Amino acid sequence: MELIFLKIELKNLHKTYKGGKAALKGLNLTLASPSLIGLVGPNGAGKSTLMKLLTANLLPSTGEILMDGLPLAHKEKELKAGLGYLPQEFGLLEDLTTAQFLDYMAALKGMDANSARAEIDRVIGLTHLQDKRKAKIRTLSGGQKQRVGIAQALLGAPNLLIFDEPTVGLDPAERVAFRSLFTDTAKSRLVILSTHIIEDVQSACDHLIVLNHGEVLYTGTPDGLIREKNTASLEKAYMALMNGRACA
Amino acid sequence: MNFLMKLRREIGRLLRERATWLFIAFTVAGAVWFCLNSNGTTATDAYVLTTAKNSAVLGALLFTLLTLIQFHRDYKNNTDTIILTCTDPLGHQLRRTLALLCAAVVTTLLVSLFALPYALIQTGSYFQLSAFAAAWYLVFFGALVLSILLASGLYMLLRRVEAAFIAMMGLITLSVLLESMYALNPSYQLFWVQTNAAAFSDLVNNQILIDLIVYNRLFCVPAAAAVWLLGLCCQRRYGRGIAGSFRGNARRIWPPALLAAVIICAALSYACEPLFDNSVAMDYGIDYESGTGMIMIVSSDEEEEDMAVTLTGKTVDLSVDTQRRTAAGTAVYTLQNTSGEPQDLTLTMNSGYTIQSASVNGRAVQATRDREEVSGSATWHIALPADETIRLSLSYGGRIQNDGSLSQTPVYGISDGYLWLPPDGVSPNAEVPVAEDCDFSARLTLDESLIPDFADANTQTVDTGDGKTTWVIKGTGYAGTGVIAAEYRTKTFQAGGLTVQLKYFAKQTAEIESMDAVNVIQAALDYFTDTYGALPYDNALTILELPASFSGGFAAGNTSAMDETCFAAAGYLPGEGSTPDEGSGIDTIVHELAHQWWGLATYPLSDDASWWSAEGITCYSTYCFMKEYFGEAYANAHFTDVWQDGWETYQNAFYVQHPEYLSKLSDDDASRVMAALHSIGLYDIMPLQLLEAEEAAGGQETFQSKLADLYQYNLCYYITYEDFLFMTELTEEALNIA
Amino acid sequence: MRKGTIFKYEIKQLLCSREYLLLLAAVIAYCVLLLRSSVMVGALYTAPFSQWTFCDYLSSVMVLLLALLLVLCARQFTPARRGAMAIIGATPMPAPVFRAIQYGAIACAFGVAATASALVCFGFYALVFDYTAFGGLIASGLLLVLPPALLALGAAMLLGSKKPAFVYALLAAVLIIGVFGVSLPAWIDVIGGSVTQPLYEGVHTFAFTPGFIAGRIAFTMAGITCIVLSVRLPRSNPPGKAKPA
Repeated sequence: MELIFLKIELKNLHKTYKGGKAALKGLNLTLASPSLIGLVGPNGAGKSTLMKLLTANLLPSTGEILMDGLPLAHKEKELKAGLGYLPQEFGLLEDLTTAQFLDYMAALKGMDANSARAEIDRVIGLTHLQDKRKAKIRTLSGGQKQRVGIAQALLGAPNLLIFDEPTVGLDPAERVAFRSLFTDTAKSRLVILSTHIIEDVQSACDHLIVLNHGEVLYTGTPDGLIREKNTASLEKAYMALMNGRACA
Repeated sequence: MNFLMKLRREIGRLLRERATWLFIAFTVAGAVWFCLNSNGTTATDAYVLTTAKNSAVLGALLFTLLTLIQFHRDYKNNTDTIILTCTDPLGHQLRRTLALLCAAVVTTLLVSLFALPYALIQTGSYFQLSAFAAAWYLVFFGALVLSILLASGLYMLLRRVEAAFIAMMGLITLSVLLESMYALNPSYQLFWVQTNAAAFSDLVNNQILIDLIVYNRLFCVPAAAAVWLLGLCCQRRYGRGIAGSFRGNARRIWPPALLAAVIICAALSYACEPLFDNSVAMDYGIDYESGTGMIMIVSSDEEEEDMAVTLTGKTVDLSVDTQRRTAAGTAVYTLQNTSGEPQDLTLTMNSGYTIQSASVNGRAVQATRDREEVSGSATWHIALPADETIRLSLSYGGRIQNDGSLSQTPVYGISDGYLWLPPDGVSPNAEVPVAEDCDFSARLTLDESLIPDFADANTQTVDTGDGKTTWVIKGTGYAGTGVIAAEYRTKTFQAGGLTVQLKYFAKQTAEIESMDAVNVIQAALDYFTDTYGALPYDNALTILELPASFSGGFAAGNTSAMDETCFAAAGYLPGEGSTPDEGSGIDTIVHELAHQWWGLATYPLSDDASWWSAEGITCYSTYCFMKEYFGEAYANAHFTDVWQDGWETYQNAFYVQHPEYLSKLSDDDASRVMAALHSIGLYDIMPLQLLEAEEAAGGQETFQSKLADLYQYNLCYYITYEDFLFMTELTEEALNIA
Repeated sequence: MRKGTIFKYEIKQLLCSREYLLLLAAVIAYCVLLLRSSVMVGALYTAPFSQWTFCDYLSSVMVLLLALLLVLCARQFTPARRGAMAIIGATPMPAPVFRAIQYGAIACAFGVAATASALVCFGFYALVFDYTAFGGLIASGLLLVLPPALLALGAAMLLGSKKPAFVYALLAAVLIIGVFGVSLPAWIDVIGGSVTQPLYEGVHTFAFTPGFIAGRIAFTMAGITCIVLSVRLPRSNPPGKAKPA
C-alpha cells in the first residue's frame, strides 16, 4: 500500500457533556501517520469520546482538531472518505450475507463496483472470512461478527483507521493475527487502537497515549513508559502510572 | 428462594414498572370511555355487554403489547444469558406469565370500580349481577388472560417479537372479523377475544347466552394454555432449535404431560360443547336472507297416505330441571299398523336428547340413532312388530341443542328464568301420519315462576306443588307442541273478536301499563279483522314477548312474537332511544300481527316470477293501519318513503341494470348477490306494487275489500300471485311501478 | 457513490424479511376475501368495478397496508439497525442522502404491497367481468392510498428517530381505528372509509368530497414536511450505546 501522510493535531481539546461531566480536559496531542497509536485508560477515561471526536461524531466543547492543518469540521467529508472506523459497540445488517454487507459498506464508502469487488476479496482474505463469505450475518458467532466489523473498516484502504476495542471476542490466535494486520497497515497509514488489552499495545503499537479522567497521563513509546516507571513490563508501568507512582 | 417467593418478587417487579401501569391505565381509560360511549339494543347490552366486549378487544391489544415487551426485555437488554444461568428458564417464564396474569387481575378490578356502579346506575332495576360478571369477568378478563397466554406462548415458540406481534394482531383481527362473516357460520368457540354473545336481555336472565360465553372460555382457555405450554416446552436451551429444545425440556415430565392434558381438554371442550349440534347445512339462503324467517315446509300427503302406520294417540310427561338445564320425560304413542307386517318407525328428536329406553307393547326394544343430524334434530329408528295396535313407550331426555348449521347464537335452551323448547324438544316426533282424532296430552313440569306459552296448544290446566308447577295441555288432531316459558304476566283484552293475551316479561309490568303499545295492538287487530276478516282461531291470540337475543319477531300458530326491544319505552337506551310511537318497535309489532292474516291464516306463496310473498302484503297492510292510526306523515316516513328508496336502489343496482354480468358469476355467487336484492323486492317493491294496485283498483277502500275477499276465499290455504291478480281483477301491467 | 447498490440492499432486506412476507400474505389473503364478498356484490349494489366499490375495497385494505408500512418503519429503529448506524455514520455518504435512500426503499416495499392489492383486484375484474378500464380506478386509488402513506412514513420516521416506541404507538392507533371501525371525518380520514359516505346518502355520481380532497392535500404536505425534516435533521447517537468513556 502506498504511504499516506496524515497529521491530526488536538489543541486544548475539551469535551463536556450535558449534565456537566467533563469527558476530556485540555487535550493536546499530535497524531501522525504512519503510526500505530495505542490509546489506553480505565473505563470513563475519555477514550470513546476521543474516538467520536476524531470521527466527527461529536463536536468539541472548546479547542480544535486540525487535520493536516485545517479544522476537522471543514474537512469532514474528506475525513470520512478516508476513514475506517470500528466502534466499541456496533451492529450489522443481519439479513445480508458477509459479502453483501461488505458490498453495501463499499457502496457507502463511494467505491465503484469493480474496485469494491477487489476490495471485498482483499479484506475477506485479511480477516479470514473466506468460508463465511456467503453466510448470513445473523448466523455468525460473536468473534466472526467482530471480524466482519474489522473487514468493513479496512475497505478502501482508508488513510485513518480507528479501532475501539477491536479484538474483543477474538481468540488468542486471531488476536495475534490481527495485531500483525494492524501493524502492517500502520506502516503506511495512521491507525489508532483503543484497547484494554495491554499485550495488544505492547507488541504492536509504536506510540502509546494513556488517558485518565479526560487527561493525558502519558504520551510516548511503550518502551519509554517502561523505562520511565522502571518496571519489567508495560502492564506494571501502566499500573504505576495509574497509581500515581514515580516508579514500580 | 422458593418458587412462591420468586413469584412475589416478580409480581412486585412488574407492578413497580411505569410501563406496566401505563398499559393498565390505557386499558382502564379505554374501558371507561367505552362505558360512556357505548350503545346496544337493551340497557344491559349497551351498558354492560357491548362495553365489556369492546374493552376486551382493546385490552387484548394492549396486554399483547405488554406481554411481548416483558418477554422480550431479557433478550433486548442482553440479560437473558445471565438470568437464565442463575434460574430455571421454565420456572422463570412461568413466573413471568403469572405476574402478567396478576396485572390482568389488577386491571379488571380497577375497571370494575367504575363499571359496576355505572352499570348499576344506568340499568337500574334491570341490573343483573350474572350478566355483569359474565361480561366483565368472563369476556373482558378472559380476553386479557387469553392474550397473555397466546402472546407469551407465541413469543417463546417463534423467538421473534415482531412475528409474535403480527401473529397476535392477526388472531385479534380474526376474532373481530368473524362477527361479520355470517356466510362462514364460524363456531362460537373461535371468537376468543370478545365472544359472539350479543343482545343481553333486561327482562329475563341471560343464562343461555352466559352459557355460550362459558363454553367459549372452556375451549379458549385450554387452547391458549396449550399454545403457552408448547412455547414453554420449546423454550430454547443448550443452543438447540425447537425440536431439540422440546426434547430437552420434555425430560421433565410435567410440561409435556400438562401440554397433552390441555390439548385433550381443548379438543374435548370443542367437540363436546353442548349448545349446538352437528346438523348438516340446509339451503335456507333465500328464505333467511330475504328476512321472511318463514320457511314453508310442504309435506307430501301422497307419501303419508302410503304409510301403513298411523298415530292415534300420544301422551307426554316432561320435567324440566332448570338448574341442570336438562329435560327428561316419557312419551307413550298409540299406533295403528294396518300393513300386517313389521315396520320401521322413524322418530325425530332434538339432537341433544337421547332415548334412554324404549318398549313396544311391553317388550323392550332397541332405538338406533342415525349419524346425521338435520335442522337441530336427530333421527331415531325403532322396529315395530306386525301387531295392529302398538303401544310404544319411550323415556328420553338430555340437554337441548340448537341447529349448528344455521347460526352460532342459541335460540333454544333452558335456564331458570327462561326456556324455549322446540316441538321435538318437548317430545320425540313420530314421522307418521297423525289421525284426525288423535288425542294428544302433555304434562310439563316447570319451576313455579315460569309461565309457559305453548304453540298449537288448545287448553291448559295447572297443578302446583313443591316449588314446581305442572301444566297439562290436551288437544286433538296434532301430536306435538313447542313451549316458551318465562316469568310472564298476561294482559288480556278483546280485539278483532278474539281474546287477546299479551304475555310480557314480569319486569316490564310498569312500562306495559303505561305505554301505548297495548292500545296500538288492540287497534291493529280490530282494523285487520274489520278490513280482511276474522282470524280462524277458536282460542286466544297470543302476543308474546321474547328476549332481545331473538332479534326480530315471528308468527306461528296463534302466536305473534316479537323481542323486548319492540316494547322499549322512551329514554330507555343511550342516544336517541325509541318509543313505540317513534321507532321501529311498534312497526315490528304491527307487522308481526299482520302476519297472522298473511302468512298464517293464509299462505301467500312466493314464486320465481314476481315479488309476491307474505312479506309484501303484510308490509302493505301494516302501512294501511299505520296511516289510519298515526297519520299519513308517519306512514310515508316509515313506509312509502322507505319503499321508494328501496325501489330506487334496486333500479340503480348494477346487476339489475346489467343482468348479463350475473351470468359471469358462479351459481352460488350469483345467488348470494341476488339474495340481497331479493329482500328489497319482497319488502319494498311488492308493497309499492300493491300501492299501484290500490290505485288501479279504484282506491284503498275498493282494493282492501278485494283483499278481504282474497283472504276469506283462501283461508287456511295457499295464495299464489295468480290468485291475487284474479281476485283483484288486475293484470301484472297494472302493478308495474317502473 | 453507488446509490443503486445501497437501495438494492435496503429493499432486499425489507422484501425478504419475515414480517414483510407475513404481512404481504395477510394483505393478499384479505384482498381475496374482500373480492369474493363485498366487491363482488358491489358497494350499495353499484358495479363491482365502480369507483365506489373500488374505493371501498381499498379503504378496507388500507388498515393492513398502513400497518405493513409502519412495521417496515419500525424495523429501522431496532437495536441492530441502530447499532449499524454507528459504522454507517462514519462513511462519506451524507446522512440525508442515506436516509432518503432508506425511505425510498420503504416506500417501494409499501408500493409493492399496495400494487399487489390493486393488481389482485384488477385481475379479478378482468377474469370475472372482462373489465379492463382501470385508468380511472388507478387515479382514485392513488389519491386514496398515497397521501396517508406519505404521512404515516414521515410521521413514523420523524417520531421514531426521537423514540422508537412512537412508531408502535402509531401502529397501535392504526390497528385500533381498523379493528373498531372508527369513523373519521373526511378531512382526517386516513383509512378512506368516508369516501363511500355520499353513496349511502343518495349521491350516485362518484366524486371525492371537498373535505376529503383537502384532507389528502394536508396529508401529503404534512407527510412531505415530516419526511424532509426527518431526512435533514441531525440525529442523536444511538441511545444506550454511547456512554462517555
